[in-house]
Amino acid sequence: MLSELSGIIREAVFIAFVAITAYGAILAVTLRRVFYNALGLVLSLFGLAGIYLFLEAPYLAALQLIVYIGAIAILMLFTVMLTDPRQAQAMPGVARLAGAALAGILWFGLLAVIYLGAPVTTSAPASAGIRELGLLLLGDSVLAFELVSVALLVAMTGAILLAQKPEAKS
Amino acid sequence: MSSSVTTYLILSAFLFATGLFGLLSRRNFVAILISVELLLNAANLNFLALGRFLVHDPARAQVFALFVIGLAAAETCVGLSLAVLLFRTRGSVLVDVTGRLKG
Repeated sequence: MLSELSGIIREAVFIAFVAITAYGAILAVTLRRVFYNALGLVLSLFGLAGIYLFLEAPYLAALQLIVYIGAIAILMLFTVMLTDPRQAQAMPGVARLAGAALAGILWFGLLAVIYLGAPVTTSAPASAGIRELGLLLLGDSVLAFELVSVALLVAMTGAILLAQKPEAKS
Repeated sequence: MSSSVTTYLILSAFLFATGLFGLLSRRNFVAILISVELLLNAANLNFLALGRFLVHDPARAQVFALFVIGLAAAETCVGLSLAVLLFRTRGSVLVDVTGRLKG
């Protein structure tokens, strides 16, 4: 789909998706109200799904939309509404400053690593079809696949157990 | 730009730094979970970009990202029900108010 776009338009769409992702991430951590944070997360995840399309991973892009935006983000919005949405104050100034300092150090450290340490690639990027993905998922990594299934089942059961009303237990 | 691995790595580093800032600077339990999602997505983006451009094994990278998404769903599931439980028993989801874990 994206390979049919001509060069400049393709780059413009890519930059738009990058901007959406970065802006959504900023909104998700800086806005005061948690409800808006969750909406910022939705924006960021949507931009990431677009970027996955550029990485030739359409299956992952669709999953990102379905699982993250369709399930996780909606679950978060409901939880914000179930808990007190007004309790959104930030940490006291010292902790906030320390967090910003640590994140800044990490950011510049990662940039340094990327620019100094990243090997230059000359070979063409590789892409995998959905068929290879399925064969690998149910072939080589079938054990991990089943383990993730069990982990999801246990997590869901635990979530039901935890969120049950106390009087319903007895 | 869309065919250079550096762009993806920089975006991933930005997401990770933002998520770390949110993790350290928020008091609301749900907001902290939101930051954790940002961290996990930064890792996913790295998996996909490096799998495509450096390792040349994109199928395996996508399988990895798939597992990360599945485990993130499990983590959110438990975390959010914990938030609901916390709010019901303590009346607050601020982590410094409800910091004592003993019953």
